[in-house]
Amino acid sequence: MLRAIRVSAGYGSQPVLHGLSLEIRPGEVLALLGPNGSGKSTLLSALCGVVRVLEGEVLLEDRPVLGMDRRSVSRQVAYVPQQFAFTQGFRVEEIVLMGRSCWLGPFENPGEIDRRKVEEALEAMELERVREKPVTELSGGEAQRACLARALAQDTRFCLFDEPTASLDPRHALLVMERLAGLAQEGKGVAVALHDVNLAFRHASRIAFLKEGRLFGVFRPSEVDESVLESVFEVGWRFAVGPGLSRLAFPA
Amino acid sequence: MAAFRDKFRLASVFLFLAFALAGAFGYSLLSGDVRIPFQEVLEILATGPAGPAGSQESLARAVIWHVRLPRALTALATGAGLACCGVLFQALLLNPLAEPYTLGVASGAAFGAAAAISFQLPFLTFWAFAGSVGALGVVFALGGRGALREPPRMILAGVVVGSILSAAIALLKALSGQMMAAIVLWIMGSFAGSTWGSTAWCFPAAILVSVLGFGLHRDLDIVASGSPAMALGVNEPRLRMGLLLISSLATAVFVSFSGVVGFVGLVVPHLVRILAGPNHVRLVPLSFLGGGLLMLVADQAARGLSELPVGVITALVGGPVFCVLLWRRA
Repeated sequence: MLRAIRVSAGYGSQPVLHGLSLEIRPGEVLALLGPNGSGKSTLLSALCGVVRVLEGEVLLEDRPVLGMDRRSVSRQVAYVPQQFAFTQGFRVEEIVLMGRSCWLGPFENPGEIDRRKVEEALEAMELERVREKPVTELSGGEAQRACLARALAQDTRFCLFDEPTASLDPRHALLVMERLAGLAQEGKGVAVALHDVNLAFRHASRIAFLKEGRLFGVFRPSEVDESVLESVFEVGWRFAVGPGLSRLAFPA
Repeated sequence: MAAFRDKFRLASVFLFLAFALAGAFGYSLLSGDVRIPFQEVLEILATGPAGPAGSQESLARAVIWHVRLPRALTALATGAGLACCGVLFQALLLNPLAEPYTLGVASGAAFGAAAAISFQLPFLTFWAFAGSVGALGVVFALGGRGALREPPRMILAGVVVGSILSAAIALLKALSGQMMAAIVLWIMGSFAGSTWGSTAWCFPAAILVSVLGFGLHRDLDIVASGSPAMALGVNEPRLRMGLLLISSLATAVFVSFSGVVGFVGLVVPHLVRILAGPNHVRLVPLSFLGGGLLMLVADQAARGLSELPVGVITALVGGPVFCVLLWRRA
């Protein structure tokens, strides 16, 4: 289990998160929802040790992440940040192979398993066609999928994704969310920050709402109603029944 | 097919550079005011600096073992080392304009040397090295811990320290009277004074940075690509701190012995990147060969042109080659 215990974290001395406790369990997709600046990205960064925790602690299988070697953390927790900016023309397959880096020694060449993981990740994110293309020449959506494929190739027990569908068209957004649900079915713990409430309803096992750096509450998708959404987003919401009797939420 | 073409191209570049480097090294042993035939050079190399037992030291043996060989090896090591340092700086500072002198090492060495020449202090190399290390210390202190997460802050600290030291060098030049020419010549770089002592420092420094760069090629790829390095298992601040410090110290060694030879550390990595792509597993060894080759050729030209400053030649030789490659790529 990956747990944040009364975590305060942020950039510089000003905390963005204030004493937040949350856990990511194996076999679930935990969606993080909340307004801009509510601390979703900071929480994901703190959970993988990229952002320094000012107070509290993050435990990975009951061990503090802070004291762990970066390579050991990366073998267990993959993280895809919201922003990505490729600065050099590495090929897509080379970028995906970087996900295997934490499993390799300094002079060790990628082996059979590494190559298989890279192939699977490229296939899962439908990137075979552009595998030899420099990442600097990709569209925004393709670049985002390359980042996701890199995290899939990392093959970790916990996966943290910050707005993984932000640059994707609807078909690829669904493809990605279904793959994340597939990871949970394989027994991995997945946390995903989203802005699309309906994607969270459709794919998440639990939804954690954040507001002003604090945890507003954790709900099952079926438990979320208009009052919860209105309290978190400070705008009215309406529900409708979509195809297959799934609930759809709209800002009123 | 594309992969095969890629490997063929890489092998061709590697073999070309390796053979050209070997050729340039051999030629630098053969050429000079004292004409020594190829066969005799081989014999002198094979029998060592003392020669066969009972033989007297000849002029040719002295020229090869005490002048040409240390000079060629120092030039090779300096070129190779500066090019590898350039690769590391550009990757770690995420800036294509970064070079081994970005953190004020060259200005520090030049200031140390200029002060030593002005005040006629002994051990010029020591003062140059002390100037480099001092400037580097100030840059790291100015940048602070936060600079390891923010490369632009570190670059800015290097630029500021370099500017202050440049002004101080200008002042020393203005006040040094007859010594001004000596300061200018030292700063522009030369391998004319190379000894086995300089080789003994420069070669290990070049090997160290290239082995580190090669061994950590995956981490450098991750950082240089703009990927979230910490999330991929790379302790980015620690990597940046360690490699920048080591490569800056290596650069301090190079400039302390040979002066501020520009261009190699900036352009050779770019040149190799155009030919072989951005992967550091290729970039580091090919830059080692390319930097060594460019410096040997430049030094050879400097010798042929009445010991012109080698920095002028590196720019004159490498610049057009770089322009052609850039134009062909465009």
